[in-house]
Amino acid sequence: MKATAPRMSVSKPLFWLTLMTAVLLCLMVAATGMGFIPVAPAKVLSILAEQLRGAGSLSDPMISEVIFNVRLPRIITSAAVGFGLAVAGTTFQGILLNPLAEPFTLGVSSGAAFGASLALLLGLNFAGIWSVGLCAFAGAAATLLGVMAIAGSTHKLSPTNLILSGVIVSAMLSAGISFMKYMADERVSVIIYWLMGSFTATTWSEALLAVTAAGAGLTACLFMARDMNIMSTGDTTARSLGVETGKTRTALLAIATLMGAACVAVSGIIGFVGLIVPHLMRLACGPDNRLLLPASGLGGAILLLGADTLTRAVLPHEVPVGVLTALIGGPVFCFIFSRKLARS
Amino acid sequence: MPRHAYTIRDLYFGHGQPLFAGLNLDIPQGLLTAIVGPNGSGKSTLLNIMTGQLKPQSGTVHLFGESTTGMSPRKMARNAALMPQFHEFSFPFTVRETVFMGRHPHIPRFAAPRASDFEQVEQAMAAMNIAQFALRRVTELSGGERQRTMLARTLAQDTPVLLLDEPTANQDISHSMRTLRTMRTLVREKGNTVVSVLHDLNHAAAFADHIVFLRQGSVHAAGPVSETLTTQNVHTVFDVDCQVRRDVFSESLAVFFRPESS
Repeated sequence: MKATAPRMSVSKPLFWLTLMTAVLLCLMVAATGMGFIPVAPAKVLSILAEQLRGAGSLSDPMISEVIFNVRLPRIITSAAVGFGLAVAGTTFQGILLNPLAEPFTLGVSSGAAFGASLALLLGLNFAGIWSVGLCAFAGAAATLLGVMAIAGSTHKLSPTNLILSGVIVSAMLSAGISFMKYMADERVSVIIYWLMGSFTATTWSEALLAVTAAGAGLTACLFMARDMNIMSTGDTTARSLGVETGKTRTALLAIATLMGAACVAVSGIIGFVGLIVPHLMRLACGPDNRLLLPASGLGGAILLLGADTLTRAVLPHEVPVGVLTALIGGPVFCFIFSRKLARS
Repeated sequence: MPRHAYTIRDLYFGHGQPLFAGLNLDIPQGLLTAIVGPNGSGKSTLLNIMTGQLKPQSGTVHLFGESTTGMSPRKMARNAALMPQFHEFSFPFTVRETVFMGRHPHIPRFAAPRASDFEQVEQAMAAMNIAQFALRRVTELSGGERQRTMLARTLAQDTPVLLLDEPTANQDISHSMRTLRTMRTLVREKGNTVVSVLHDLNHAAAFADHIVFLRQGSVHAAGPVSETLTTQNVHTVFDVDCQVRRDVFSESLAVFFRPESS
C-alpha cells in the first residue's frame, strides 16, 4: 500500500503563509511611508535599519520621529488587532460549527462596548488612559461568563445553546448601551466615537498589548487546532476519538473571547473582520485549522491595516475604521453569499 | 468459556421512566455481535454508554476487565471506536482528511503522523471503496458515500473493539455486503470484536456470530445466532408474523415475513 499522498501537502500551507506574510510586510512598509509627510519605501527601510542598528546620529530625526512614534505604533496595532479579530472569528466559527459566528455572536463585542460605554458615561479614570480599555475587557469577560452560565454546564455547552444565549445576552447589552447613550447627554458623542472603532493616537503600549494578545491567542488556538478540526464532525464523533469536547470548547471560548476583548479594548468595535476573513480564507486554503488560523490572522492583519491606511492616508477626511470595515465588509459578504448560493 | 470484551452489570440509565433498569449483558471477545430491537429500545444509547459518551445512573461497564468509569477519553478511543448513527459535516474537509481524523488517538499532540498512520488511512479507504474520491469534500457526498467515509474513519482508528450504529444505513445492497464482509474479516482475520446495531435481521443472520435482542430497555435474549435467532424471539420482540428457518442459498438462518398479519 502506498504511504504517500494523504498528508496535507507541505507546499500548500507554506505557499499561502509565505505569500500572505510577504504581502503584509510590503503593506506595512508602504503604509509607513504614506501620510501627511510622504516617505519613499526605500527611505522607510533605511530609517528602520538605522533605528535597529541603534545609530547614534539619525540622518533625518523628524522623519524618524514621525515613523517611530506616530505611524509605526498605529500600523502595528491595526495589523495586530486585525490578526487577533480574525483568529478569534475563526475560533468562534470552528467551535460553534457556524460559518457566521464571530466575536459579536456570543455578545463578546457587545459586552466590551457595554463596559466601555459605562466607563465613558461615569467618567471612570481609575487606570488613566487604560480605564476605558480595561472596562471593555472586563465587560467582554463578564459577558462570556454570563453566556456560559445561561448555556448550561460544561457538558451541555452545545453550539446551539451557546449561540442562543449569546443572542439573548447581546440583545440585553445593546438595550443597555442605548440607555446609556440616552443618559449621556453631551458625552454621547464620545461614546458613539469609541463604539465606531479607531486607531487614532495609538501608542506603543497599545501596540504591545495587541501584539501580545494576538500572538498568545494564536499559539493557544494552534495547540488545539487538531481537536477543533475533529469537533467539526460533531460532539459524539469527537468524543469517540478521544477529544474532551466540553473542556476544549470552554478553553477555546475563553481564549477567543480574551483575544477579541483585548483587541476591542485597544481599538473599539470593529466589525466584519472576524466574520469575513475566516470565510474568505476557508475558501482559499480549506477548513484545516492548522493552516486556517494563521492564514486568517494574516488576512485580518492585511485587511485592517489596509482599511486603516486608506482612512488615514488616502481619504480626504479620516473616517473611523470600524465604519469603513462595515462599509467594505457588508457588500463583500453579500457577494460571497450570493456566489455560494449560485454554486449550490 | 468465552472471554468477554464488555461486561455490563445492573445498568440503570434514564430520567423519569428509566430506559435501562438493571440491564446485564456480556459481549464476547473476538466475535461479531448484532444488537437488534425495535425503535426506542435503547440500542444507540447502549453503544454510547459502552464508549463512555453517556454516564449511567448506576451499574458498571467493564471493557477488557477495566471499568470504563474514569477511563480517559483518549484511552477509550484507543480501545473502542464508535461510528454513531448520525454524522455532522460542518466544514468541507476532504474524504481523506476526514478518514485521517481516525488516527487522532494514536498521534501525540506535538508529534507528526508516522508512515503507518498514512498506511492505515489508505487501507481503510480501500476497504470501504472510497479511495477514488479521496479528494472530494465530504459536504458534497451522497448519504451512502458519507456513511462509508465514516466507516473508513472508524476502521482507521484501528481499535480492538468497533461499535457500529446502523453501518449499512443509506447504502445500496452491494456496499452493504462489502461493509458486512469487512466487519466479518476484521473478526476472523484480525481478532477484533465488532458490535453492530442492525435493523435487517437477515444481515444479522448471515454475518453475526452472536445476537442480542433488546426490548423495552432490557435484554430479552442473547446468545449465538444459531440458538438465539428463533421465530419465537423475533415474534416477541418485534411483534411481527414471521418464520426463521435455514436458507439453502445463503446457507444461514433467514427470517421470512408474512406481508399481511394473520
